[in-house]
Amino acid sequence: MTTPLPDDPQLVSFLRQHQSPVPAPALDLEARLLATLPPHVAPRSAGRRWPFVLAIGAAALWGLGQVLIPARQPETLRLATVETHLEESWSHVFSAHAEPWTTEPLP
Amino acid sequence: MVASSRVAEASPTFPDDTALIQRCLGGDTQSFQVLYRRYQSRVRGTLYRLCGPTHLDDLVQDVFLRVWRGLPRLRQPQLFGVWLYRIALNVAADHRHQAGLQRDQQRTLAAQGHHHTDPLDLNHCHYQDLVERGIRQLPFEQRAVLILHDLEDRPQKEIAEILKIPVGTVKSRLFRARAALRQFFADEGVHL
Repeated sequence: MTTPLPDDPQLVSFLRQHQSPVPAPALDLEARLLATLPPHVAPRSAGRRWPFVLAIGAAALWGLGQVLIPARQPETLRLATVETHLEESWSHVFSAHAEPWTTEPLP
Repeated sequence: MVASSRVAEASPTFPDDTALIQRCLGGDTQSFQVLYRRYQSRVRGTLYRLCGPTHLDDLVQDVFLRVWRGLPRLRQPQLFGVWLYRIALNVAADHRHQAGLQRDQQRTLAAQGHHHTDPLDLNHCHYQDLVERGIRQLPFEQRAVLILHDLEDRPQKEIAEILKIPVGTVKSRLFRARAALRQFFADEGVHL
């Protein structure tokens, strides 16, 4: 702890002895001050930042998804090809069985 | 901590500063009134010695308005006293820049003529004037350290926290301020 004792006692004593008295405040200063106090604006706490953080996170995820979707396209195309192949095969089989019934009736 | 212990010494009354600050944050102006009454005298004295009587009420009001606005950002309420002094010194520095030191000195001397009218104590008035002029002729940084340390008994470590400077700088500014004051008094015919 630093010492508050003056190490130039003569000078300090002279200053204290002859310092001017502080003028009294205006009678209405306190009232004026209290009347002009604006309402407090609460500081941004960590808790209040959560919606902002969540929004940023969601946006980042959405952007990441946009980047990754093209990478999935070949797989989607392959799936579509398989589906088309299945449909065509099924149609072919179906039409092969259906043809005799629909073209010519039995004698 | 030294600063917090000094603040505790300075404000032993109940409720303590931290409790009052919490209430102020809830919009309780009566708690702020208690804080104002607790500290306004010291703030006023510091501002008077730094800036003189001109605009003193306005400066005090400015300090406490800044305090009220800044309370939501005060992270260490136990160091309220240090923080308050820092605001007061900032207000004084702003005022010094705005008003100009020379013009203020002239107004101070004129105002002092109204304050001291006792013809029986002319010698004391002369020394008061001398002390005022001696302090005012110091550079602002030295003046602030000298006032806080020699006139308001703030310890060097707390002054370092208030001014955000090393303790060694406080000591060197104090040394230079005292030397300059001694020289000023000697030039005026007063040898201590």
